Parts: sequence; C-alpha cells; structure tokens
Amino acid sequence: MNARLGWLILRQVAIVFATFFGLILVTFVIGRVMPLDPVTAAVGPDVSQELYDKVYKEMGLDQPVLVQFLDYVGSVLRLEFGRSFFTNQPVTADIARVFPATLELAFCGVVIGALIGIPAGILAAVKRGTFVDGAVRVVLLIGYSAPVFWKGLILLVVFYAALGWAGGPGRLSIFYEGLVPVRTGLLLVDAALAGQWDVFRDAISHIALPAISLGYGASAYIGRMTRSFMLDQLKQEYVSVARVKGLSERQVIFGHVLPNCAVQLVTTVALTFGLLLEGAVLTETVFAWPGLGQYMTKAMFNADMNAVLGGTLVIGAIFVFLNLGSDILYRILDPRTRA
Amino acid sequence: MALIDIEKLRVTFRTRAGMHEALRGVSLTMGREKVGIVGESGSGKSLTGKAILGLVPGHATVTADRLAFDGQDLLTMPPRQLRQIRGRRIGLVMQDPKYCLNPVLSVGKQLVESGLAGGIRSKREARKKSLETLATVQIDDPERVMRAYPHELSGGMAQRVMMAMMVVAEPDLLIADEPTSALDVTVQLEVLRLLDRLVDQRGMGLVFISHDLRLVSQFCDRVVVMYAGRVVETLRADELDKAQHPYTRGLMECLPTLDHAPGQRLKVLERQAEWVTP
Repeated sequence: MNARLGWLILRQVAIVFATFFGLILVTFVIGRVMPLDPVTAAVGPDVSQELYDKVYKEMGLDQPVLVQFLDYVGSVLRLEFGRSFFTNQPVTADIARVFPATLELAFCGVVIGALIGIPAGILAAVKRGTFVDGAVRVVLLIGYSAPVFWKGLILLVVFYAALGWAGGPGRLSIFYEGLVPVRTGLLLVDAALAGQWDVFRDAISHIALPAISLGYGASAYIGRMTRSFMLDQLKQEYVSVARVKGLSERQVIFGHVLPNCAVQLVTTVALTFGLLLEGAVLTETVFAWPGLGQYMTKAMFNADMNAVLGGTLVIGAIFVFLNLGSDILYRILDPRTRA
Repeated sequence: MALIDIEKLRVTFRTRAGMHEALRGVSLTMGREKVGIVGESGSGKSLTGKAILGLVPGHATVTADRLAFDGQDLLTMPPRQLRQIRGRRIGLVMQDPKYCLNPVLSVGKQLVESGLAGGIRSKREARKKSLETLATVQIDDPERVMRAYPHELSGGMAQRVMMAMMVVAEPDLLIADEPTSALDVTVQLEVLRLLDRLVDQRGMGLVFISHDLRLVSQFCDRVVVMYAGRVVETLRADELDKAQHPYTRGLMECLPTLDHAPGQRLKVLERQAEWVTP
C-alpha cells in the first residue's frame, strides 16, 4: 500500500509540473499580446533608432517565438523575471521583499477565518433550524457580502481612530521601523527571533485589523462550507449507528462526523488561503500594507510588465502548491483515496 | 418482566402539508424472544424500532401511554441514562452495512469504541473482546479485519462486522432492521443463520423487521403485522395460516406456491379502506 501511496504522490507531482508549464505559457502569451512595447518601457520614448534596435536585439525580440519562449522558461526556472522599471530593481528581489508581508497577513487572516468559521459552521449544523443557526448564518452572511475595504475602513475608524486599541496603517509604527534584522521577512517571526517583544506587540497591533477584516470574510466562506459539509454527513446512517452505540452527542460530532468532513475542510481552507494571498489587494490598499498586492497594483498602473508577470507567476505557483498540499493531505485523511 | 413494553405509541411528523401521523397507537410487549415485524413500506415498522432506541428525527413528536425497556420508562429518562441503555442493552443492525460503518475509521477503532461505550472498562479488554466477537461472526482473520477500513470489506463481511459491533457489549435486545435486504442473495442466508445463532447463544431478545412475511415466519417465534401505522395482527409464527386479518391473508395469497400452475396469475392484494383504523 505504501508503494501505491508513493506512486500517487509522484502522479500528483507530475500534474503540478504540467500545471506550472501551462502557467508559464499563459504569462508568456500575455506578455506578448499586451499592447506595450517592452523596449520603449525599458529605455523610454526618446532614444535613437540605433539604441532602440540594440536593446531590441539584447532582449531577444528578433528571435523566433519558440526560442523566445524557451528563453522565458529558462529565466523563470532561474527565478529571473527581469528588472522592474519603476523600482529599478530585479523583480525577484522586489517580490522577495514584499511577498512576506502578504504571506504574513494572509496567514493570519486564514487562521482567524478557520478558527471562527469551522466552529461556527459546526454549531450552525448541529443546531440546524434553531435561532442559533439563524444568528450564525446572518453574521456569516454579513461577513461574506460586505466588501473587504468597507470592513477595513469601519475597523480603522472604530478601533484605531476612535478607540485607539489597535495600530494604524502600515506594518509597524514609525519609531519601530528597522529595529529588527530581516531574516524571514515575516515581521512577527523576525521580532520573535530577535527577542524584541515590544516590536512584536506593535506588529501584532498593526496586523490585527487587516487580518480581522480578511479573516471575517474568510470565516464566512469557511463557515458556510463547514455547515453544509456537516449537514451532509449528519444525514448518513453511520451517525445513527454511533448514537446507538451509546456515544454522547459530542463524541458523535467530533469523533465521527467531523473526521468525515476533514478532507473537504482542508481543501476549503487551502483554497481560501490562496484567495487571500491573491485577493489582499484591496485590504493592502486600505491599510497601506506594503505587500505583493500593493506592489502589483502599482506595477499595473505603471505598465511594468516584468513586475506584473513575475507577481502573477508567484501567485499561480502558490495556488498550484496549495492544491498539491491539500491533495496529499487527502490521502492521509481519507483511507478510501489510498486504495 | 417484559423486555419491551409499548402501549399506544404515536409518532407524528410536522410537515409542510400539516401533521402526519406515522405511528398511530402501536402496542407491543415482548420478552427475550424473537419477534418479527412485517409490513409494507411506510407501515411504520422501522420507525417502531427507531422509537425504542429514541432515534426518531427531531421534527417528530413521540407520545405513548407506555414506552418501557426492562421496566424503565424510555420517554422520561434523562439523555445520559438513555445513552447507557442504547450502548449496553440494545443493539441495532440496519439495512446497508456500507453506510452504517464510518468510512474514515478502521474497523478495529469502531469496534473498540462500541465496547467502551457499552461498559467495557479498558481499551485492551475491549480489543480482546472485539477480536473474539469477530471470530464468533465467522470472520477468519480478525486481526487483519480490525486493521481494515470499511471500503475494504465485502457487503456480507461488512454486515457481519456490523453485527459484531452491536453485540460486542452483550446487549439484551437486538433490533435488526431488514439486515439482509442490501446483501447478495447468496450471503443473505448465511448472515441470517449467524444472526439466529448469536441471538440463541446469548439469550437476547430479537426484533426482526422485514417485509418478507415468509422469511420472518421461518425465523421468529411471533409475527407482528403492521399496516398504516398500526399493529393489525399478532400471530405465532407456526400459526400463520390461522391469520384473521384480511391484509395478512391477502399478503399470503400473493405468494406463489410450489404447486403453482404455469400461466396462472398470482393474486393481487386489494386494499380496503376500512383496514386503516383511526
């Protein structure tokens, strides 16, 4: 059975490579069909024809498309996405700088989302049709339908401006900026590693509001899914059997029903995490969070194709790996998929 | 004392179309014997079994003059005590074993859990008991089956595991709700024989719910015939041909006999409105 499990994982990895190839192809094509002249973007409009032609050649644009594509694949594999025109830095370095901020925020968001969403969904399903169910569903529905920037603004107005409980926009207060050495780029981790607990506290108070506004939306989705997964399973006969065995309702729910939802929950949470990474753009704007979303927005306004494509590839790759991760977790959680 | 004592059991479902009375005053008393309940779909035979276990769905109301197990009133019993009765004293074997076993837990885990809930003190002892019980339901390699997951078992095997799970705590009563309907014909008889032996060996009471009148009469001491939420007739199994009620008689006349002439049509049950008594 273990050889079979290994084979299945190998197959998953092959699928990942195929998906990744598709992703590279799509970004390559987008880069070609955009009505932007990459040469002009690089050197500016006021250059001589000779210089233009020279750069054109240097960029390999005189080569056949297939050669250009292979070059592109090669550079992607070397993690070289070219230079960003507006930061004048290699895109890879830019992304390495901004991505941890987004990762940290999305991670906190999805943790909050799961910690609220899963218990809320379980509660609503168990108390189906009662006042509790209705109340949970209304609260989740509001989180689901209210736009994230609106939630962000309200949180800022109440908890930062009026009450002063939380930090304002940005990742840190100005006087804490640059106090801890960058190791992972995740401020909370870096501050903890350096033992700078006042920086850690300040970072927490800054990440709290954006993470809550992301997490509330995520909890709405996760909660609704949890509720419907649970209701599906509660109808099954093994639930009656578990009750006949004389188990308490708690044992029935957590020992029998929830493990059967685990597979679907893992997928839901993983995909939500992916969506948060990609969809943090608005939140990052409202909270002036210097992350990938803000970077890509700026890049797009500046027609900075290298930066946009680099960011797209990173997010795409993360989606692929989240899917791979949840697929592998399936096989551990559900014995039927191992056979 | 009677193991089960039911008097005028009523179960009413609240539906969009109004109240629907699914059980309309069922009375039944039994000791440690084998009682078969027969009836067509919707006659309330399964629901009677579920009511004894307190497993009637939440949107239904259950009332009865008496609903007692071994002298204890099941209707007024606190949930904790009801759970203990379920786990230790009553077992239930249902129709389709594929849906009755939890797909993500190993057979061993489910058996041990059943034993622990049924009052066995230690995990170790529950495991030992589970292996023994698997052997009594004629599972050849209990150790291997304990490690297996439900989807790795055949239907007949799963049903035997199910029976083992329900008797591991040595209950006083077993309710079997169409335990063979979802199985291949070839394993049906085998499972029935096993059930019969288990009940005899342990001196349990058995409620055998089925729509197969002939099967029930071969297998049980008494036969209870239900129609439209009521018991219409109770007979000794060996006196089936003395049935009085026209529904029971009609059912028997529908069955082909050995000396059935070729080409001759079987009788069709013609329902009478007065069979549905208020």
